[in-house]
Amino acid sequence: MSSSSFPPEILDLIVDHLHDKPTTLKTCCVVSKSWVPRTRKHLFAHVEFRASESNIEMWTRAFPDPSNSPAHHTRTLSIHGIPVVTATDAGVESWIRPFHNVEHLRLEHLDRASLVPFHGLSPAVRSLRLSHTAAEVFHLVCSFPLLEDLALIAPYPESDGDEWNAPLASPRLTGSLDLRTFRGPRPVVRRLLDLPGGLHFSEITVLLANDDNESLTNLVSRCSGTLEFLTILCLPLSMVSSTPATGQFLTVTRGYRHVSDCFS
Amino acid sequence: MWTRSSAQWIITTLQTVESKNLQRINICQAIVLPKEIEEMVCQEWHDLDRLLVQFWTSHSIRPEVTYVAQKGGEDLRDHAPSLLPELTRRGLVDLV
Repeated sequence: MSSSSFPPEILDLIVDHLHDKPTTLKTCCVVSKSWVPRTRKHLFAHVEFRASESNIEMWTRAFPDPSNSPAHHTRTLSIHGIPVVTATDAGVESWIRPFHNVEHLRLEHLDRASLVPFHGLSPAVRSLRLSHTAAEVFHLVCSFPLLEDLALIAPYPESDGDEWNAPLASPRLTGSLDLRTFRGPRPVVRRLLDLPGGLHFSEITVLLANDDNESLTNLVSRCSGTLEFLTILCLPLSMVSSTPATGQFLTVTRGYRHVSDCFS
Repeated sequence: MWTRSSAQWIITTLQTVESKNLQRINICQAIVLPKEIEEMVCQEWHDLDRLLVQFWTSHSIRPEVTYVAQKGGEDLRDHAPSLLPELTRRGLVDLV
């Protein structure tokens, strides 16, 4: 049967059944040009750039025309450890902006990168995971009106002296909060409590690992009206400075295996 | 070393929760116990034990305590029943 006589909705159904089989999807991609759009939808649903600028170069070389990029299929975008972008980087728009349908955004180890290019990247972002907690993080948070889940995993201390002008509006934040700052959570908690839309988390995970637990207690208290699941991770002070032990703890703690990445 | 204030912080945090929707409390702990546990430390653990049992029996909020053993510490399997006796009896303490 030629592809022209094959009902496209049937083809879509078949390809959809293969959504979790990337090798098969790649094979489907080379069968016929008409098969490409549907397979791309699944092949590019999760995109991860990891620890090398060459990832970005390969992407831009493969998809030089942003309007023809499969980035619009991406629902989960993860960027790890790339000195990705500065606010003035002219090339940024061309490769980041096409990811305008992302629902889950993970930005980790971008310590010296500006987060400005990610502001309002996709109106559909529902979960955001970041590995630092500077004030600009919260302006990024507030650029996603439908944001529900927030994870801030910061192994390094954050100064409390940063200039902080709370945004004028913030998402309702009704999902989960995963907050793990290993020393001095006060600045990040202060900024969270300052968000004008309030906090309505139904699930909270906090790490009690330091002598500033009062702010975490305040945070839990603020969400106590909507809270359904509370997880408290306890780490002795002596372990905080010992990253292998910390990593071990977080690795073996059920349900939180991914956090060990922070210490590798 | 497990500090006394840490146990108190857990209790303080739990006492701030007023949600009628709360369904589950999960506490994951990495502790190194000394050979002889101070009486005051024991008392705090017992207070925590009572509070968590109260959450369960009065509000149907299921608590779950997970210990993560560390090198150089005492065998937690020996200490858990004495520190969190009621939770242990009800099978809510898990040693990893």
